[in-house]
Amino acid sequence: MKKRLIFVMFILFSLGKITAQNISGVVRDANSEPLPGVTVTLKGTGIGTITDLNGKFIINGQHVIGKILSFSFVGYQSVEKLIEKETAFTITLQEASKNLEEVVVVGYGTQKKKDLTTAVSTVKSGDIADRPLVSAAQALQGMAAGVQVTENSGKPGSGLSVRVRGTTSINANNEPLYIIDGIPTSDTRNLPVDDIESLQVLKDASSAAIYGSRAANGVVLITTKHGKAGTSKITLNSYYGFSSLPKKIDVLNSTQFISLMGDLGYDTSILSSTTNTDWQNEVYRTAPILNTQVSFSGGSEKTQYYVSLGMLDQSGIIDPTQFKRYSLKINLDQEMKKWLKIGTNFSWSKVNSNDVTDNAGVAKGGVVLGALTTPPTMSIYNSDGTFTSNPYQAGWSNPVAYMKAISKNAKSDKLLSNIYAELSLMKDLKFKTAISIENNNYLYTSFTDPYSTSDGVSKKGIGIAETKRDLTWLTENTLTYNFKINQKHKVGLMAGTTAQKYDYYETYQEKTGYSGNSITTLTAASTTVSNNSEPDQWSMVSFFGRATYDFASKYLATINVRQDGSSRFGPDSRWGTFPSISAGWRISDEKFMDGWKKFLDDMKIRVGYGIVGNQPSDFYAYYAKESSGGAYPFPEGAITAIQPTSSGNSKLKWESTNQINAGIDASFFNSRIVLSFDLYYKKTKDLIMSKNIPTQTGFSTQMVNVGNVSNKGLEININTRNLVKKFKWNTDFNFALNRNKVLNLDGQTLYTGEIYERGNASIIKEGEPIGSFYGYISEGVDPATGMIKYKTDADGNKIQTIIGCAQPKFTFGLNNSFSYKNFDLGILLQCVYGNDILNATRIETEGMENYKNQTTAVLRRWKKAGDVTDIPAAIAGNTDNSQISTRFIEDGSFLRLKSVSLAYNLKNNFLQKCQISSIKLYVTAQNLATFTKYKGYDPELSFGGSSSDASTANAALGIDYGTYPQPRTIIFGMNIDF
Amino acid sequence: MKQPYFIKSLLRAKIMQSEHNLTKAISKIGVGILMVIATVSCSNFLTTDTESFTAKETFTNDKAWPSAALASLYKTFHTEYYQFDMFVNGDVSSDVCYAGGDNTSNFEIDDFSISTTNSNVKRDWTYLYNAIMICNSVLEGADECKVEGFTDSDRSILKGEAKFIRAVHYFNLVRLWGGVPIVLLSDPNQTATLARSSETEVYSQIVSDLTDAISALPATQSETGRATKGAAQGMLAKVYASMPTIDYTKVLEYCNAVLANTSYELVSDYAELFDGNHENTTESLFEIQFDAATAGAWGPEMFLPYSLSGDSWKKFNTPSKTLINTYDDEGDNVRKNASVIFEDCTGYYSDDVWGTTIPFAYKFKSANGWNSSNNIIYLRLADIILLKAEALNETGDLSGAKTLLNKIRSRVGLADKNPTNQSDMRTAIEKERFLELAFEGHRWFDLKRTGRAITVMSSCETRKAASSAYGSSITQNDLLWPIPATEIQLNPNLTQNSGY
Repeated sequence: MKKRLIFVMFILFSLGKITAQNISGVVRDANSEPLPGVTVTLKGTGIGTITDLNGKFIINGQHVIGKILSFSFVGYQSVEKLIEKETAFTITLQEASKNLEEVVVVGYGTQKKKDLTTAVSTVKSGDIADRPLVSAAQALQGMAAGVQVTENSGKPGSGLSVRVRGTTSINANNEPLYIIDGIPTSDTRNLPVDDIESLQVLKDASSAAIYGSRAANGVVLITTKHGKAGTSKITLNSYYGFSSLPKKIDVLNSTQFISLMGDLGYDTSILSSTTNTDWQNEVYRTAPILNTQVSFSGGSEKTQYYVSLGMLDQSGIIDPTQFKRYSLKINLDQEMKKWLKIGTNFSWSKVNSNDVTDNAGVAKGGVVLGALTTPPTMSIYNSDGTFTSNPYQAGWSNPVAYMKAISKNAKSDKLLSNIYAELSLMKDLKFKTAISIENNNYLYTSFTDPYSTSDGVSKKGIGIAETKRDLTWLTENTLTYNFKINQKHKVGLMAGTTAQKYDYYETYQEKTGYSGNSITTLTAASTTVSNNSEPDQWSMVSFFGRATYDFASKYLATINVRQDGSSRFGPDSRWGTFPSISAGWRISDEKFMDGWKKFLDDMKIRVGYGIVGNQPSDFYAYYAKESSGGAYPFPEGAITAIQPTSSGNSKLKWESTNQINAGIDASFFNSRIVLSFDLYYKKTKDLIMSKNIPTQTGFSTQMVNVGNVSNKGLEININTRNLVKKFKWNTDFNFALNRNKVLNLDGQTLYTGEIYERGNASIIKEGEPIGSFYGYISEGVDPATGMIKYKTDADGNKIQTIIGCAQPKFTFGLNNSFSYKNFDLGILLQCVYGNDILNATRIETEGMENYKNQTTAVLRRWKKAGDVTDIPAAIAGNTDNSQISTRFIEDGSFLRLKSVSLAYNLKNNFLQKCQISSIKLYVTAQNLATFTKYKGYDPELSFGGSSSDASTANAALGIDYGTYPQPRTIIFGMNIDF
Repeated sequence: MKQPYFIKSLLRAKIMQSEHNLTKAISKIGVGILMVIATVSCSNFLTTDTESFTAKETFTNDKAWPSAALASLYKTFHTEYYQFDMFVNGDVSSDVCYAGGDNTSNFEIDDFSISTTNSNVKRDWTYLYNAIMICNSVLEGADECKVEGFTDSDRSILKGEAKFIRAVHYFNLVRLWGGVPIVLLSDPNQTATLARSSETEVYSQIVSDLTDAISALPATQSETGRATKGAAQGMLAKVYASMPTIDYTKVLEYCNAVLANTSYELVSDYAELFDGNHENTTESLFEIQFDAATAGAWGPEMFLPYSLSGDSWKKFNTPSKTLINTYDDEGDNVRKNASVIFEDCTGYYSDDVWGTTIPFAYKFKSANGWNSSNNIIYLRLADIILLKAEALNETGDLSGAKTLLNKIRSRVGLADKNPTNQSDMRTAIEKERFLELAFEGHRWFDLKRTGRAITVMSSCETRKAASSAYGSSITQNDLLWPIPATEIQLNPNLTQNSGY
């Protein structure tokens, strides 16, 4: 103790500014434990410091009497203290009761969480720290009730399907709108998670309606870190680790494969029984991941800054997949004048990624299916060094050839930035104006060498160069007026307007005919296959307003209205109006609840109703288009054809979702238990659909507004602080169930999710949920014939019907965090229950119809009459046994140890001498264990999710067709604060 | 604590000035905000450019329309149907060749075990109806187009071409599926629920279109490859020969009409027709144009062996034992060498019938990395001559038939044949068509229209081994394809063909 005091004194002296007006003190928590790291500032001066290991602080300043000292620390309620005479303070900080005083960002403003009348989920930086997360959307996984995040594949930087309270749309977008520091965007992969301060998900219509037409799928508001007055902090966060394939699928070895080929009637003399290649070993690898982020933040009363530099380099478990990101973030806020504040949120990032083909059969270069279906009798290379291919079908190269001979590289950079100015016009009246820019540049290059794959050889090499560039600008102007009447009536008014325009240009060039593989640019190729360009634009104008009323924090009401005009609709149906209303009643403040005060801190009932909109993902959906059909080469001169390419619908209008939400927020036992419960019902009307129409019309699809979809469900969030003394244990539990149903499709039934040579696997039908599977009912193998028996109707026709559903019955996330002394342990469990998966990979690996290797399941195949088994006979060219049927439907439920993280926090004198305020060392395992009955690699997948076709992405859920599996990742990290 | 707000500081600065100034300041800000709103609310702002397409409603009065529409008609022959599938449908189904390749859909077609989800069946239905929609759109546009320089004569010819091409597509539909919906409008809202018409009704529509085309089309066109009167007459002869009840008088009438045009002549050297260097010859009635520089064909890549394509994968449409044996029995080396090439495929793959020395379909000579300049001869004079021979034989003119048969044989250096009765002559003509038109997509439809398909195919060997034959696996039901399952799902008014 004495030593420490000397040390403090040493620091004080070293500052060399001790005067009579030094203010000093100690900050403790409720248990009288000293609190290090508390930010202490002298308001209005820009002077500040941080408490040391013993919770002590010293500030020196002039004329401190009458000024206010402010104490703030993450997870604790801030305290302000007026300096009267004394200059030594003992301050006790109470842990922030999670729900109450927290400020949450809502559309175009902020609100105290306790005054919310809507359904909002919050995830804070602390909840997602120490994990190898690439994007904000990924950080939401398992963390927020009613927000279902599915990684489409295990590829590094893979896209995600995020569904807030279910699927509302069949052809329009179902992803939520992301707003990063006020700037709308559709992809969060460019923003490092380390830069994120908090995420708020606006789930119900009354919270989201202020974003009107783009809010049908919820809104995710992302706030990045900003500097804090009176501090200056350098943070270095770095981790390194490995990803690997958690599970292999057993396939036939050479002997077993040769026997199968014999059964199929193929000539097995050409197979090498001495070679036994494990293609999964050749395809999958242990891949490194490295992330480093350094940030500088701080500021004075008038200026705050946050600057960060980051680098993430994640290799995938299939070579050469990789996601490499460099990022730069600058947030500045400056009070120029007493009435004028300006600032900027600037971020720039660059991503370099390498891809391989998945979700495809071996004939189309799919590497994952290649790893499973390539004969073990082949080695990787021929004796001349070229890649081997299937001995029966030379067009099917081995998967290593597809990995090595085809390069697919994407480079993109993104600028997301705004500048704002906030004017205080009069007391309580503020005008804010902001200009935002999102600029994306994307360059994709691919080269298939002219030697290794069949496609490459015949075309003498294939080169592709694709560029995409877009620029979105947005201006926003809002006026807010907040005032009180008689101290009890609080009124907030806000009105605003925005205008936004998106401008896109794409070029695509493909050439063939290379003389070798030393020069891979298109210049070195001889034949042009494709040389196209495409410009696209959209624009939007919006007017919106909000009124909030609050009577003594007891009766709360909010009204929102937004009107949007969009270029994506014809002139007659361009404008949509989206109102919402919500109200809250703080029942705990009522007299009759006084008896409950002993254990009930706060309780609020809230109810809301609103309408939000959705627009088509095709920017020109309503047009009957005539587009270029290419040239017809009359010998006298080629003429370019222009022909009808879409059927058009000038009456196309806004899709709208009406939602009603009712909820309770409650806090018990001094915030030891915080609970919120929500019930909702949403009905989406006038679905914008690219409806499949009979192709006898000459068109395959038509854009229409048809039908209704409903989602109803409940969400429970419980946060408990189980132990709060030296040993701390907190539990966050979130549970959601959602029931989706297609109410009306105008009598139509839609099909999507086409499996090669097997037809459509997904059906969208009235009375059924989106994501239903469609197929035959397998009644097992006929012992007499070895053929699968399918259920038939009275006439003997095979029945094709609904055979499963990809929507889960419920999902939950359970996050437990423990801390004892210097140790922190976090365990996140994620559960998805009651969903089916169509394991279409097994169509390829248990089909036994051609020269593909199969899984060991086929060792049980029917061989002679009388055999009773679940696997049919091997018959060359027969697809009847491997039709889409209940044979391939599996239970997709899983319970996943999503993240386990152990951290050790180091704070001591030695470090302080080294100018280091703290060091945290941690080890985290992501996807450590998954408990599931699913037979494939991993139950988290979405074949359709990565599709560019909207209805496939929305409705072809839960199909596994050679999807790149989710890796298990273990990282070792270090976080240093200076 | 009082904060000096913006307006107050203004006030302070102008403390002694009149209130008027404050109002001015406030109104300035107000005007500023209003200007922002006014600028953006302009409705022009919500009308975006459409650079990568043009709106159908305005396009017919664009100067570009007549030529763009013309090209769109012919471009319908560049689809997969005409580049590849028509050879599968016409030849793999028959005894000309086996499926080859690795495609289950093609195997199903070869084996007469077509499922309702067969992807070729589905895509061919889609390609042909899309092509028909484009024809319908051009026919509608031709009446609306008032562009300067687009004369009534231009209009009439363009409509003639549209009708000719629509008839060709319907002819393929009706031969594959039997009766199909007759779609004559481009607006999907009016055609989505149409039910199937009878086979006879579809043929009537085809005859009507071709009859209109014959009267509208000139004997020659300004661009080579455009439909001519002769092409329409030749098509109509084939159509009459394919109806459920063949009208041989009409077949004869339209064959004669073609042959009356003396500019049509057989090319003296059969091999020249398919060498890639002699295109749009005097023998060609209708030819699909390709050119590597502007629009090449990918189809030939599907057929040509490793030495000519660079592909080591198994090629499609492998010539049958029957075909090769028939060439050899006839001593027909000219046509065999022009139509088939053998190659040793040891190390790449083997064929169940042929082993490792495998014949390949060879009527296209250049693959050029999926970008061939080889044209596709869709209709040629030799076909019409043999059709006329058939019509003469069926109407009792045996000697007239013989003259024409031997005209075709003598071109390829084969001795005259002398069948002495109608039945022998039928067989001779059938065999001549088999050898003359192999790999041109005709054989299956010839066997079907003459009622010979089941007889011929049941004794033909399958792709699986030379010794196995189709036998009873081909039935009457196999003569028509199933309506694609997805189409019946989408349009319940469609009925399925029997047996599916």
